[in-house]
Amino acid sequence: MTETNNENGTTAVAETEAPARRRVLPRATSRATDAGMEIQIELPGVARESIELNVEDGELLLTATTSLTAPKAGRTAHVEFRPADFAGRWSLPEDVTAEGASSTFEHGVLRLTLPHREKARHSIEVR
Amino acid sequence: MVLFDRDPFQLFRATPAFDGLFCAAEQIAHRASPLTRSAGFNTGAFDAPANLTATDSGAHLTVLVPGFGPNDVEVSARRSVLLVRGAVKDAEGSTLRSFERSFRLPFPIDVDAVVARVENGVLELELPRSESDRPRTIRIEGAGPRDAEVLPEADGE
Repeated sequence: MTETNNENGTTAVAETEAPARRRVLPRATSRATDAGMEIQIELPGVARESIELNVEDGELLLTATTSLTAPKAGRTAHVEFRPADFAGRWSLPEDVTAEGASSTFEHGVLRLTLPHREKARHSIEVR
Repeated sequence: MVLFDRDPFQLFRATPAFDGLFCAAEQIAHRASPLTRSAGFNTGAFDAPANLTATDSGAHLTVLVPGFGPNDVEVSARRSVLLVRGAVKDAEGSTLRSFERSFRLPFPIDVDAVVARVENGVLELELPRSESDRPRTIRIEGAGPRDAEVLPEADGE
């Protein structure tokens, strides 16, 4: 409030920063396997290095940036998609775990394999 | 005018499956989306959304084809009509996922000079306009003090 300089500085930064890119939820599908589950997430235009993938509190969190840009030169003759970065948050079933999970990324598709949580199974001897 | 011929699979472009690409992230920031368990991946036709930009010298087409590699996509062209096909097959040779789209471009293209590239699930096509179709200046001969110029098309920039 009293620090006018600081406030001005903040305003200047806000002006020079590029507007945040739009983020959309990527299309994701999953299927159950004998070992656990497989998740497939479509990320067209994404480079492997820009993918951030985390599992937190039973949720799968993903962010990724695309190299796709809106066309600049010429006339846009036809538009079916708007370039955007990706962000997703999905709840995972309780019976799978991120421990021992693996993933591959090829042709703009992320494939994630999550194994079943080890079943806590104790046999009780009957006397 | 550009006409996009929607492919025969248009009826199968089920909106629920495609909503994701246009769903605002603001909606997902606050709650997790359920992961649907499907019977299998990559089943059926894929929509392959495309953007087209045109200039006087050519056109640029971008098609989103996640899951399709350079060997899975086929492009053919004849004059101003472009056909783009993709198919991902499993080890036994049966098609897991496919798309087929045709595009009518605003002008005939030089088919031999088309450059196509697939990277990270995005197909980029450079489509140069056919040389014979480009606007040319024609000098008018006459007895007047200065030559007049006539453009065969009025869309030059």
